[in-house]
Amino acid sequence: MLLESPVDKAPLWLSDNGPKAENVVLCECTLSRNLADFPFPDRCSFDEREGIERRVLSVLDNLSLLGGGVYYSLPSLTSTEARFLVERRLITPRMLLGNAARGVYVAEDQSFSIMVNASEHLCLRAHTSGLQPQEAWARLNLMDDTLAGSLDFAFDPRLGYLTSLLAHLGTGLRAAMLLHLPCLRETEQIEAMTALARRHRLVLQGVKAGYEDPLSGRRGSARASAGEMRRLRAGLMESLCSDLEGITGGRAPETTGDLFLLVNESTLGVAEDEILFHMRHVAEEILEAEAAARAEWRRERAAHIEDRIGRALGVAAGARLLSFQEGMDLLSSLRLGVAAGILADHSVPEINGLLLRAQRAHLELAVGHDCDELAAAVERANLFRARFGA
Amino acid sequence: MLCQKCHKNLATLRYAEVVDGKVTDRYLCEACMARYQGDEGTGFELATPPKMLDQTAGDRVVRDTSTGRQGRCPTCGAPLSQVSEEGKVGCTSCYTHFGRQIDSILEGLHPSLHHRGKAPRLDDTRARLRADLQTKRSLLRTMLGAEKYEEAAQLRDEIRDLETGLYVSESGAD
Repeated sequence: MLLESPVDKAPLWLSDNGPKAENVVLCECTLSRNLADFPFPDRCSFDEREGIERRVLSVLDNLSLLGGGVYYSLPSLTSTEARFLVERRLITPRMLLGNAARGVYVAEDQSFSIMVNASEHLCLRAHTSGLQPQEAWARLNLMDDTLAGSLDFAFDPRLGYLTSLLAHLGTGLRAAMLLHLPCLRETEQIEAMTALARRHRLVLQGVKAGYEDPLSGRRGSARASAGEMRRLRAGLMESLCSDLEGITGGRAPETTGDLFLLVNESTLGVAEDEILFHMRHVAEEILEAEAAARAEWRRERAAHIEDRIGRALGVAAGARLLSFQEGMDLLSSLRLGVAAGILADHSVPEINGLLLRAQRAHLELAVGHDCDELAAAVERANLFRARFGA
Repeated sequence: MLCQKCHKNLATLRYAEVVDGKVTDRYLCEACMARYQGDEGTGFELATPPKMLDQTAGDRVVRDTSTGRQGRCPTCGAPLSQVSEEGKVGCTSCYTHFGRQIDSILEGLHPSLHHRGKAPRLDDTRARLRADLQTKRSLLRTMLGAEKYEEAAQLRDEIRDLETGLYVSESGAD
């Protein structure tokens, strides 16, 4: 198996207990860059994509900054291994499509990845634990500067960094935060938070199980054939993957496990620091509202909240079959229990670890074979029982 | 060109209407074309001989590639429809070739059509100082608007330092 090392290893963001980590699962920043002398990936021939990959790899080989990471060529991975990388948020779901040259460099501690020939020639991505968007950006900024010393990036003084997707144009920076907001959802305050985010040109949207094509409904999604899209969706049915490429506001706030993504919508006409400043500012306001809702809930409905956490613990300790949806719902209640100090024997990194390992490709790689829905439910229940059973 | 019906989306389709033998061209977006098709039963004719056209819904909808060079990027061949429907371009030349159409899409996506933020040439210290200054001034306005005076005071001091730095840097350069 090619991916042995990443499977055994927990990513750095998971073990690190960053500020407000009980509510902020992770911060993710992605930076889009393109080489000036090639068409964008969708318009490249097979040879051109190979040329881009060769050039980027030769630069990466000479950079000491990157340490001991590994480059994975996507066509050489099995479908499960590639889905595993999506579940770890190291590549985008759309990178699973097609046969052309593309791949990802993954840092040894999995704190960052460099996607080659995704929607753009280069997508640099960094993750941090808790509310630390600036730290993720600082890491990307350094990588970007270093790469710019050897690669000529497409740039226009008026439009900034030129990208294939107009939604990435300018800074090329897509910043995202994965937030756990059970009480705001319970008290139906998500709409108000969505409106708050929109005022700052941010989007707050629920994270749903499975893959939803952000470009669906537009003619462009036809670039991947209907069959390919079906296979992509089927493969990612039990994953918390999100495609931020075509993100626009106004989506329904449905969610799995009370998880929401806060993402910047605009990249042109707004500087990187401003994007991160607004992200942080809005995230803090949302977290304050969540804290207030939790306080009120605990004051007025203490028995209910304790019952919810106790029941979740009971199911996690005893279930023999756990669907993905049920697993995510349990983790939401258990995370709430850890944050409230009710589950003192458990920790946020442990819950984050389960959030990753309960996904289908993670389960399949852990047991060493493909699983159908039933087999995955059995393995997921085993995973929870090993943690929460007597 | 914007849709002549809704005046919001980019017009990607040409609709030729024949009334009393007189042909009238209308340039529409896909949504308005779909509504038109729902409303109109007959009286629709192809605007150009069929062999020149990319027909997408039987013979009724005419994709406007008849504008020739304007319809596709001369460098990568990306069609204008890809830009307007997917929000996606094929190469850096598309930005020049479809400039006007792209600007009208960007207006709906971003707060301004002028890049602010980092640029690849980081050796130009003054350019970076200016960019930082612009960012912090904008943040200061936001903070004052939100009545966050502590943060605003901090930003004001940072702006003063940057302005001093810029002045020293520019005097030194002269």
